[in-house]
Order: sequence, then structure tokens, then C-alpha cells
Amino acid sequence: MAELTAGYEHQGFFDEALTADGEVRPHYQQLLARLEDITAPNLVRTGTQIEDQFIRQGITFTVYGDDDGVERTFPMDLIPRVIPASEWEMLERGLIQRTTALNAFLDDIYAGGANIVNDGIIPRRLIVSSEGYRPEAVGIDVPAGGRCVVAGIDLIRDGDGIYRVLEDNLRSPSGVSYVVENRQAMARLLPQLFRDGRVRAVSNYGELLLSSLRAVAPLSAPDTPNVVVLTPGVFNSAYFEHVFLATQMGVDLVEGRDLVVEDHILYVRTTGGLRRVDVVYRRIDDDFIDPVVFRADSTLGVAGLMSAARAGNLTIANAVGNGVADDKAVYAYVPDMVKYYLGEEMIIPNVDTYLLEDHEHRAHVLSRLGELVVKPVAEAGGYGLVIGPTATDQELADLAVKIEADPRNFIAQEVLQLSRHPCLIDQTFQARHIDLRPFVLSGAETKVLPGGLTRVALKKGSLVVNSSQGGGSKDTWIMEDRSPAPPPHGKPVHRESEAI
Amino acid sequence: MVMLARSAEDLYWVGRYLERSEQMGRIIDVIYHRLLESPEDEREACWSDALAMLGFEQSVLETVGLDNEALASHCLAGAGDGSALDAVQRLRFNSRGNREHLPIELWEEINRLWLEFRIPDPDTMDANGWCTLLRRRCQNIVGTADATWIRTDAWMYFTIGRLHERALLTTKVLAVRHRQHLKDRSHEWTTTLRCCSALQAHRRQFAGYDDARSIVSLLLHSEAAPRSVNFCIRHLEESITQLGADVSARTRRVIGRLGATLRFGDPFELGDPEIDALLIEVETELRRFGAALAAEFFLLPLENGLRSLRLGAADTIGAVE
Repeated sequence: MAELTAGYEHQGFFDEALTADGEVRPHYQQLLARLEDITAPNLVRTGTQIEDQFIRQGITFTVYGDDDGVERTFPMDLIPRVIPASEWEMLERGLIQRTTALNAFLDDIYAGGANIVNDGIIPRRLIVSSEGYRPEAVGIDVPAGGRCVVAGIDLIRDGDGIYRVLEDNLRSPSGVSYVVENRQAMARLLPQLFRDGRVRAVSNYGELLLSSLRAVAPLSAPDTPNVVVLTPGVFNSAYFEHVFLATQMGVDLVEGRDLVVEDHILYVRTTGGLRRVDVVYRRIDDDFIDPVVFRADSTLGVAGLMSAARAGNLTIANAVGNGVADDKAVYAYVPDMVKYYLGEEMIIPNVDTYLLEDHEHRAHVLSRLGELVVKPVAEAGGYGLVIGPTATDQELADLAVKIEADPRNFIAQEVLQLSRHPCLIDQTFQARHIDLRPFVLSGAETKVLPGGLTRVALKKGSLVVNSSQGGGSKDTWIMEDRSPAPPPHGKPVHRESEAI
Repeated sequence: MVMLARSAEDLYWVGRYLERSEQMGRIIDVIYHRLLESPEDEREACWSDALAMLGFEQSVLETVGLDNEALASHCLAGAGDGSALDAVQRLRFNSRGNREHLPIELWEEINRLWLEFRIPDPDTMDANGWCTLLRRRCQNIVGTADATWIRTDAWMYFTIGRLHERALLTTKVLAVRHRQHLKDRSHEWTTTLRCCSALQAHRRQFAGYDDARSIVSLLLHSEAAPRSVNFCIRHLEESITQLGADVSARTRRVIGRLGATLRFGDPFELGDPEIDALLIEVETELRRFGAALAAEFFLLPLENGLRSLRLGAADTIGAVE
């Protein structure tokens, strides 16, 4: 493989693999040396093999708005992202801190009397005006306060290389299946990159998730609670992930039509009659989960599900109403939550955010609309995002009207200089913007899967990494804390002699 | 052991569509190759039989025309219900909806069949190529399933689906063909046996051809030929028993009675009209078995469960059977 630095453009962004002077960062040296031993055509062929393998294994997502429901793969770039143990240790603490505070906040809002509001930390108006707030869920207890059993916290690195939280995903964060499948594909087709075995494993996600889900089972449940995964069905975009989760945990993957609630108890239809369910890990939005309480026209959910949860016979994970905590306006208050519930300072800072409901903020933002990023507060997947510098005058004018009409629905942030990472594009290394979505599991204790999903904006110059908008992914390596001997003169000590 | 009722039913259909896909590949292949060596005036009758065996309307002969290649590709990859492509798509759809029950190797084989079969490439594929691909892939799937799948309920429902479909098809083949098995028309009876992969077995067992009833004996009554109806029924009975159906269960009674009829019957005592009647009876009973299976394993548990929750009978979803 050609030298990384040849023709590689830095353009003043923070690069994960190279310093501003073009030196390879220490934690990338071994990896890049091994990549150099593989010729570019071989690397490209491996990429094709991985793509074929994903298609053959049906590791795909469905693109909506297409009559055939075309199944596509989520492209994986072959150059892994490497995070050294020391950095990860800080991130892990920060992620656990943040998730703990968010769980405490949700439990406070729905089952604890909303002390944080009564104490004047967060305005009541902000909570009740949030689209994700569900008054129907007030008073429903969740054992161990585990309301976000699975949280996906999106991290970015800014122009100075500082990690920041971009947003929280506390409803049904997806993507973990790609973390595990990417690793399997990499380990199978490029084993030489892993040779010294210092990359931390991710394959035990299923066990971690199952034990977290069991930990939040109702007190009345048996010692081995019956857990099921609830999917909207084969036509859902993320169906592969739902299969993956059920398979990894060894539990049933059910649809709404397989379930029935009687006397406030949830049952699954089996060949031997009805069998009780204690925990439902649902991948269906709140709106569709129970036609009695939410959308009456939903056929995806189960009538009576909320009553079973309220009666203490069932835990719904993630809990209903979590959307209030990943509302992008509430996001601005997460540092206050950390201080209020934990008495600590934030370990991983937020991105500075303007709340447009605030008169001063709004006036400031409207005067600088062309320089900022504006996001609707309740959307996920990059939908509705307007990036000022690349928007047309008409788009900005339309946006200003929308903001004036409903300021609560928007927030604004400075344009972020997302860090970049070398990617294999057209047989050369090219820099692309990336982010990171680690997965945090809460149950008996809060744990983070080492690494997470590194998403890549594969389009040159693009900042949008979402799979629905042309993004790809990378295998993400968290290194074991075994410091390798520093290579003399910046060259790797050990080199593989033969190329594949 | 119990399992999700929907998955049980879907896996039963995975078995049926797999068996159907393979049989379609084989039957079309046999008919297609036979006609390559037959006078042109046999073409219509031969395809008419094939369409009847495969469950197509006879009107296809007019809409598609009496062209060997065109008829074969209509049956293999024609648009709409009933083609081999349709069976493959349903096989894959039902599998995809139940991937957590399938060994990964098995799912990959099924997905591979679908990937290779769904995009018609007329340049590299003719009827012969399609049939070969279909049969080989299906046999790979069966072999992979056999070697990798844990023998729990999921496997049982899959097996029941395969055996049930096979028994139905063999019955259908005999019903359509057995009147044509005249001694002096060897290409007719060899065609039938080839359609059921049984020509070689017939030669070994009967050494020569005297009596058309030897075919009925082999395909309906044999306990050893894997495509005989009696063979399928014996294994269906075993599978149902392993699923926990006791002797009073409807599935076991239906299949047990039918099994007794075949086990203790002797086709050499029967004339053609009696064989016709027997084949109709076998088909009817096999269909009743399907209904009983659904009621006992796929539908009834819900009804029973709800009743045991002491709901008023009028309120239960399954008040009607």
C-alpha cells in the first residue's frame, strides 16, 4: 500500500491518524505499517469480498420509499479507527456519568416527582413542551431506574481534538449489529492487522444486553425472566439488527401479532399456549407501541402493553417517554443534570448550543443564520438539519420563518470541525469526517461496549454521517492497556515480511 | 419444548417451499429433457401433465404457446404466483422473518439460492441451467440443514413441512400420470419415475416392467423410497409424536389412519378405478392433516390460552374453529 502521507490532504482539520505536521500518531503506527504490506489492489479486493459477504449473509438495511424495499449494505471502510486505552478510559467514565445522570433525570421526571423542575434547575415548560415527553408514562416504575437500558451517545471530536457529545439517543439507538459484524468481517479477511491481539473484543454484546434486560425485570418475575425483542417486522429498515439482537441473546424475536395482554400480563403465543413475558426490549416507537394509549391506528404494537407495565408485571425497555431526555433543547441542560444528581462536573463536554426559545439567543442566531447549524429538537437520523454555510438564501429565509413560528422546535450550534480519518477511496487514502456512537448499557450496573460505531461521511467534504444519508462505517479499535515499546526513530519495530 | 407459534408456522412453510422449489426444478428438468428426444406431437400432452403436476392452469399452454423453452421459463421464473421463483422468494421471505431460528450457515445457503435465482440472466442461463441450479442449491440447503440444525421444535416443523409437501406432490404426480403407465410406452412410465427420482430404485426393486401397479407400489406404499407417500407419512407421524402430540391429537389420528391404509394396502389387488379413488382419498387426508396441524399447533394454543384465562367464550378471538 502506498505511503499514507502521499497525496493525503490535511486541510487544517483534526486528523485521527496524523498530527498537524503529517507525522503518524503513535497509536496508529503499527496498524499503518501493516497496511503498507498489503498492496492496494489486494485491499480493494478484500473490500469487495466483505461487501459480498454482507450481501450473502443478508446484513442489510432496507431503504424506505422504494417499492421493492431494496436491501442495501451499510458500507464499511477498511481502515480501522484506533482509540488508545488512556483516551477510552476517559470516554468510558464520561459516558457512564452522562448515562447515569440521564437515567436519574428520567426517573425523576416520570416516577420521582420531578424534583429537578421543582428546584428550578430545568424549566417545567421545556419538559411539558417536549415532543418526547409522555404524560401517559408518569407513575410507571422501572426497576433499578434503568430507563435507558441501551443508550447511544454520539460523540465527535472538534477542531482541537476535544471529544464532545453531539447528541443522545435514548429511544431505540441502532447500529450495534454493525459494530459486531464489522469486526467479524475484518478479523476474517484481514487477520494480519490484528496479529498482536491487543484489540478489545466486542462479541459479547448479546450477553451484556441480556443481563441488563434481566436486571430491570419486574420484581414479580421469576429468577430467569423471559425477555423478548419486539420488532415492527421484516419490512422495517433495521430488521437485520433486530434479528441480530434476538439471536445474540438467544431470545424470541416477536411482532405485535405474537403478543397478547390479559389481566395486565403480557403473553407470547407459542405452540404450547400462552407464555408470560417479563421484559420486552422493543424496537418500536412510543407512538406505535400500544393502540389503547397512543396511536389507535397502530397495528405494530400490543393493546394493553402500558397497563401491564403500570401494573408492575412488565418492563418495557427502553422505557416509554425517554424522548424527553434526548430532546435537543433538553440536551443543553445535561451538564446541569450531572451537577444536580451526581454533584460532578461533566467529563465529556457538550457542544455549545443556542436555545431559540430564549429571546437573546434567537436574535443572535437569526443574525448569524448563515454561519450556524440549525436542528429540529426531536428528529433523529440527520433529518431536517440545516447547515448554514452550505444552505441557499432561500433555505435560510424559509428556516428563519420556521424558527419565528415555533422557536421551541429548534436549536442552533456553531458549525463543528468534525475530525477526519483516512479512508480507502479509489485505491488511495483520503480524509473523511467521522463521529462515534458508543453503546452504554444500564441495568444492575452501567457498562460501555468497548468502542462503538464509527460512522463516516463517505461523500467528500460532507459532515453528515447517517446511514440513511450516504454514510458508511469503520471498525473501531479500543486497545488493551499494554503499552508497546516505543518504536525507535518513529519506525515500527516489527514488520511482516510477506505481503498477502 | 414450545416455540413461537408464528415462527413454527413460518418454518413449516420454509420446509414446504424448499421441497416445492426442488421438485419444480426436477420435474421441469425431466419434462424438458424428455421432449428433446420425443416426437413433436407428444409435446402438448406432456406439458399439460407437467402443468397439472406443478399446479398451473391449463390455459398457460395457450397464453405462453407450445414452445419448450418458453414453457419451462414460465414455470421457472414467470411472474406471479406458482412459479419456482415465487417458491424461492417465499422460501427466503419466511426464512428471513425467522433467522434467529436458523443456523447461520443454513440462512446463507437459502439467501444464496435467492440471490442467484432472482435475477434472470438469459445469456448465461437456459432452462437446463436454471433447473440444475435450483436442484443443486436446494440439495445444499437440505444437507446444510441436516448437518447444522439442532433437533428442537424448529427443526421438526421444518421437517414436517418438507414431508407434507413431498407426500402431496407424489400423490399428485401419480394421480396425473398413472393411467399412462402402459407397458409398451416406456418413456411415459420412466418420465414419472424420474419426476420422483425413483427410476433407478424401481429397476433394482422390480427388475423389468410388467405391471403399472409396481409404480404405485413404489411411490405410494414403499417404506424405503424417500419420495413414497408411505415413507413421508411414517416420518410425519414420528415428528408429530416428538412434538408431543398424543394419540388422541387430531394430527396423529389423521396421519395414523392414512398410514395404516397404505401400510396394509396392496396395490396389486386393485384395479385402475380403485387406485384413482385411493389417490383421491390420500390427497384429501393429507389436506386434512394440514388443517389439523394448523389448528393444533399454530392457532389453537391462543384459543386454549384465552379460555384458560376464563374469558367468556363469546369474547375469545378463536371462538370459531
